Amino acid sequence: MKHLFLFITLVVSLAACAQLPQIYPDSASRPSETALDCGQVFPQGRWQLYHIIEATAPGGQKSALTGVSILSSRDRSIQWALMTVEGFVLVSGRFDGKLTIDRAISPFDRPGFAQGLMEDLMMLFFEPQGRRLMTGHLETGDRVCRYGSPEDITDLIIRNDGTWTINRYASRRRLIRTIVADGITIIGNNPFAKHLILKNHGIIGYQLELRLVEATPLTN
Amino acid sequence: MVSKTKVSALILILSVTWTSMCAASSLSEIRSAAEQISSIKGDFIQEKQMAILAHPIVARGYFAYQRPASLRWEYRQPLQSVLLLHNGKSHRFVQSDGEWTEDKAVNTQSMDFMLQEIAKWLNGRFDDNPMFRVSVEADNKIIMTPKDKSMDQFIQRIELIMADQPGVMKEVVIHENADSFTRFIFIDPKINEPIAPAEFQKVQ
Repeated sequence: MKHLFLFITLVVSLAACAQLPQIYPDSASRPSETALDCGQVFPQGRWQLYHIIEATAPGGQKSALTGVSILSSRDRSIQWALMTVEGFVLVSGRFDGKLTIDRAISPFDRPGFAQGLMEDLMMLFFEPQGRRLMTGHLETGDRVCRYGSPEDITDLIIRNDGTWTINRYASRRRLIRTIVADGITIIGNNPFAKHLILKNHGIIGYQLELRLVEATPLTN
Repeated sequence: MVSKTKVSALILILSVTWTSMCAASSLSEIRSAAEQISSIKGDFIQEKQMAILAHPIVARGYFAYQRPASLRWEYRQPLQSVLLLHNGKSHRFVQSDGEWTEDKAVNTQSMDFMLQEIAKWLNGRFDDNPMFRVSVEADNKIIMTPKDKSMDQFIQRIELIMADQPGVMKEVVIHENADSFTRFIFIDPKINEPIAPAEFQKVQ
């Protein structure tokens, strides 16, 4: 049985090691447009966001939560609180170059949880970090920007209707996280996805489905 | 997960339970007033305020309570979620894509525990609850503070603000810490009106 498990794990791991999607270069005038679009799918300035969240844990158990995020695109900082529907704060913290946990109730106090949550939020609300390796379009015609860092490669794919997808790959081109954004609405000249689905792939994967309740601009 | 559900259940149940208290100057008066109330229902507004928020986040809903221990606590905006307590069992449902599904993350043991607590409170036996120290203040306000320091990390203080109308609670404010609280505002609650049993048994 142990060998069977190892074999299955190996097969799954190998299957997950896929090639990155091919990016086709744009025409001479197009690259700058695509690059510009990639920066503009995320809200600029300071915002207070309020989301309803359906969290699907490994094993399929679902929970309803609410979340507030205070984000600033200027310095890529974010404050957040994850709450029960009744408003009870389960975990809250901030990231301004350094992660600070303000409150964490069991089991949200386990090591690595706040770090993972912060990484998910940064991926949801900010342009991917890292060097922009290339821009262009996929075989489907969707525009794409590819970012690279020592740890991972991230593709931001934008469709003509404004919806977008992020695929993040770890070493050996293993897909580790996906975000699908739709229901794009404009608030204060900024685009917001009414509906976001973040999937963390893997054996202990999970999913966060966020529905935007309100986005409020902050002046200071 | 036990702690999370225990505390969220506590918040829910406290909010409804305290609506049955009346303006009174002592716990014994509260107890006798509570005995006159067999049911209560109405709408509520929930406001969450934290230091990081520029303005509070708001939810709205409906609640119904029937003696001895049946409760419906229903959120209607911004999401649809229903908590049902009936015959000693608790269930929470959430609407997703137009369909109601049970939120299995709710720990039923802790919900059952809270159900026993509600029976005490509805009899006005707030001082029977070993978890809280209760004091009555002059301005129609009851203050509950946790006795146990471990509870202190969840709730620092609870304020129950009573309306002038006997038997009606105006607000409940649950302070999690110095800069975070949740305010429940009860709107025009109806006391001792009949409530269909199905309200406590079915999500719709």
